[in-house]
Amino acid sequence: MGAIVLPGLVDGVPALESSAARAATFANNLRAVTVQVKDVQAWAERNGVPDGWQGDAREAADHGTTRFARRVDVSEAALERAVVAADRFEDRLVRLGTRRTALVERRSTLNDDITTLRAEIDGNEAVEASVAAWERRAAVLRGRAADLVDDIAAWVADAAEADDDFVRALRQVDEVGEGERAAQDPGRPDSEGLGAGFDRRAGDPVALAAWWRTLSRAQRQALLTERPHAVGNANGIPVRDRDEANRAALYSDIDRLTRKEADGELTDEERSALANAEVIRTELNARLEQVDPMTGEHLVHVVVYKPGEFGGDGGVAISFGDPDRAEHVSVNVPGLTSEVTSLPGNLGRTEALHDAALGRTSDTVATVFWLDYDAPSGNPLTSIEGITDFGSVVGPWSADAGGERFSQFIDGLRASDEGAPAHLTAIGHSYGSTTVGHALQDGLPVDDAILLGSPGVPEHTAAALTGAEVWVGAKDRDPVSLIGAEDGPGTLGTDPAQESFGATRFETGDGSPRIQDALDNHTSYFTGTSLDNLGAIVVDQDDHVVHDEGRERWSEEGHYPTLPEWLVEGAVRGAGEPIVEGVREWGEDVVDSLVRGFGPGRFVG
Amino acid sequence: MAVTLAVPAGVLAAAKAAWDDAADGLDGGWRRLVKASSAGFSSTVVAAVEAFQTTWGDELKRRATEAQDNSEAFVEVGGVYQFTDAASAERARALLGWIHHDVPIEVR
Repeated sequence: MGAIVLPGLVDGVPALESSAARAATFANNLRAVTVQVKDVQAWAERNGVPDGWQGDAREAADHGTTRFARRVDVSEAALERAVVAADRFEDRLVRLGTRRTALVERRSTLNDDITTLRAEIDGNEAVEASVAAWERRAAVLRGRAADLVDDIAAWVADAAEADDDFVRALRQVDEVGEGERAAQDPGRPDSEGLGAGFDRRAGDPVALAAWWRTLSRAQRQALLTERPHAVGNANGIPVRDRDEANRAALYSDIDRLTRKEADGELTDEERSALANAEVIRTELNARLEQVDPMTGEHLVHVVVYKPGEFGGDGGVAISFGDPDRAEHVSVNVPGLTSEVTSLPGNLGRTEALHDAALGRTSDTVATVFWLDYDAPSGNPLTSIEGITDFGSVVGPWSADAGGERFSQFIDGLRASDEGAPAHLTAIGHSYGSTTVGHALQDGLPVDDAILLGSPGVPEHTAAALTGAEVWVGAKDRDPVSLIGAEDGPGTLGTDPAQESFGATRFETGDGSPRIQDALDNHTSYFTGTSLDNLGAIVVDQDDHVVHDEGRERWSEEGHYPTLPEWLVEGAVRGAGEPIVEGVREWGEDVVDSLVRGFGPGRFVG
Repeated sequence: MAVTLAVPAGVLAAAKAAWDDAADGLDGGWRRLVKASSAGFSSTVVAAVEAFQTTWGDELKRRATEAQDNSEAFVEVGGVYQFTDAASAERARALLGWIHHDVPIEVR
């Protein structure tokens, strides 16, 4: 019998010396610097000697603004090179990280297999048949070990090469003279031409996405630092590039507006924009180290950044995971009171949904929070002032306009999607469900739609609304969800929780009967059973959704109260607890407001 | 003998403000650049990053100073922009947009 040669245990895979997350942060800072330098350079160039000027050369050469533009352009050219290098470095580190994870897993499995075979050999008598079998297994293990050692060596070499390439690229422009040469490089991206190409396709997500794919990394980076707001908010641009553009815009805006604030030159509009930008930055910083387990890239992407939009409320969309590469994508649209300053709570809910969905599947998932419409600001559930506002805002107009914008956003996601089309779910909460309803009515290209705490949607049946599968979450003690009922006061449309609507209602719980808890009832759909059901729908596990019965007609003995009944019952139940007078007034006023605003006599008494 | 440029005072005020904005923009740029952390990089990468930051942080700072100096070339006294001599007026004229490159210099 010959000797059995077991391979030795394979040594660990070294850690990456440079981290992808830090490279991304560095690249984002470089882009923000580049944006500021380009802004100045573009201003100086616009005021300099025009191209093709035929007059006195000496006079042109002496023109101070023109000279300044050329000097600043040297820095700009160097920064452009560095941005491209940092962007490439980040990508390579992400891929290296993914490869390392796989190598670590292979090593662990292999070493376990070697240890197992060694124990088997040591613990058993060597007879001819078993020795032959052990030798065959040992030979396979030796082959696996040799392959793994080779692959680890190749990975180490690639990691070193990534570092070396980045270092080399930076060293090529780390002297001013080298920046001067970079500025004159005929291969430098033509930002003006790229901008014209972008403008021709803006508004057509499919054309924009197709064109963008033809650009080199240097061209994409040049354009997104030249026009960060436009590129970052353009539907059809890949989400990763939108994120880079939007972060560049965010950080450069904060730098610029903070300086103006220090100089006492901030306008009211700019003050709102700065406040919104700072809220977004805080949320991003809180998640700086979070990595997408599926891609190895940073988890959070800024897909829309409009800090000054909607009279200072601002617009924003943030994704957990990459919608372009995820197999399941959800986009949730908030409602009443939503603005950028309410981002923390909304992002928390979106993140909770992402976790819930990922917990159900090994597929890739992205969940997006989208607030790029003028959501009504007043909340009838928090104050008397809100009720006054409620009367004026609860009409379908904002939802109609918002639905159109939402459709454009979804069209953009469809256009930039990579691989097989993602399973896409639109989620609307509160007034956001009405917004989603209007988008569905116009043919929103989604697979599923979820309407949460809905005050109404603009069709009487799910089938008339959309071809997508429609799901409804409605707590019977969520007063907003009672507004759209058949005999209710709402002007926003039909209550989708009604049996006759024909959607699938899922279990959410009924909510607390006390009036003090009205707001909690309306805002707690992203928790507990309701969240579990949302997660199942998002990852297309319809069989795992726990159903609830649809609401019956108000004229019959139903299991849920009418809005005024609920308000009276809630006030009575709440009276046993400390109840502020404002809340009691709130209950009375909301009834008055609804009756006056939406037609006396429509209430069931 | 004070001199001035034959353009409306608003043109000169706007130029001064624009150069001031340019200085602020570049100031923000070099500050963010030099503060960008190189933590989380290998030692060879850190050295290259720091060399880049030093060169271009310094260069942007020089350009920011230049822009600030250009802003200060426009001196307003009692609501009137004026220059001490023809040379300083010529320098200021070169700092206006090219559209104003041939405006006359006037003795006040």
